[in-house]
Amino acid sequence: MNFEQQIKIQSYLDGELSLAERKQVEVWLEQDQQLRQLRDELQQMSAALRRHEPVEGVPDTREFYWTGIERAIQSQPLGGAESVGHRRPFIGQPTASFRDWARSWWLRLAVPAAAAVLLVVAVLSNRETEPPPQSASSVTQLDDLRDIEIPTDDVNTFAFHSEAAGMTVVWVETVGQ
Amino acid sequence: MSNSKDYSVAADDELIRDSRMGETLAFEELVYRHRDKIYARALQMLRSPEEALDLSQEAWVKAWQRLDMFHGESSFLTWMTRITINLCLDRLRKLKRQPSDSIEEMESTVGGVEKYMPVVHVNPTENLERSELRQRIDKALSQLSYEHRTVLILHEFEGLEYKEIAKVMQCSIGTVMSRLFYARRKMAALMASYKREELT
Repeated sequence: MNFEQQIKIQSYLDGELSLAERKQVEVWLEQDQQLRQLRDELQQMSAALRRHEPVEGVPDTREFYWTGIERAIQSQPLGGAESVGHRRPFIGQPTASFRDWARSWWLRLAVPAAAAVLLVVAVLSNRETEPPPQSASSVTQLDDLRDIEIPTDDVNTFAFHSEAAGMTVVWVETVGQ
Repeated sequence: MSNSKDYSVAADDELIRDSRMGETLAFEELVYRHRDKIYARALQMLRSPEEALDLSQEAWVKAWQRLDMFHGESSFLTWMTRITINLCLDRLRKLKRQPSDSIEEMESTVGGVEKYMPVVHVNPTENLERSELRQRIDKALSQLSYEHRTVLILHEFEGLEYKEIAKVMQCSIGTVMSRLFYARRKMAALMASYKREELT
């Protein structure tokens, strides 16, 4: 028997052959004892595996196993990473994940809004100052910094303005959740 | 307002529906019902109880995130098992990047020896108690490479066809066929050797 015949015996047992191929294999089986022995071996092994699949139960208690999963679920934003933008209504109390979602929504709005307000303030205050003298060293000197701080619980925003340099820097920092 | 439904008597469909609406108690019941089979599948593939525990929990979290993608074409357990298998394969592929010193593993990976294995004449599974047979099968499975073990699991335990296995394992149908052939012949040879050891 050659390897092609051996593989065909397997495919025959697994129902993966066409009708014509099945008939060919049946002729081989009639004529070749070794192929019949191989068929028997493959059949016995397959039957043993299907009837006696090893089964092992979770070694943890129901509560302990669930706690790990629940913690991971509640640390996800609402809808999870797989369904961006999807929102589910809740039955009962909102979970921690709902609160996290609400905060992240607020952050997405608050950060650009705070930056925009500071920029407007900086531009308006700049209009009243004269342009700085043309000097290579004056551009980098920020000795007369004024800082404008607008802290919130989740966002720290700082603006530094130098009238001499005619420069305003806005720094926006999100606080870890 | 608390939810006082008794989910222990609810059908899977109802549990899935309520889970989609964010009801974690319903999802907990789903986990409880199917956790052993999911854990067992992960353990068969990864061969480490700690990793199987960790990965099976990860699979449940992924299922929670993807509940909207379950449309009922298969049973929930089948769908859940697919998620588990894919996670196992991802993990095993990462591990495979590490070189192996095992000659047996190299032999089984390279292939070709299955063409020359002598046929096992005596049924090595005869006259064994069920629990003992399961133990021997488990022991023999652990001695296969992850590719051969996986193809056997997908075909014999999950009932997938060759082309489905090829898709899951990202290989050709020819590769599936030769890996499955090697795995079955190797299993038969191992089971026969266990029987011989028992008699001597």
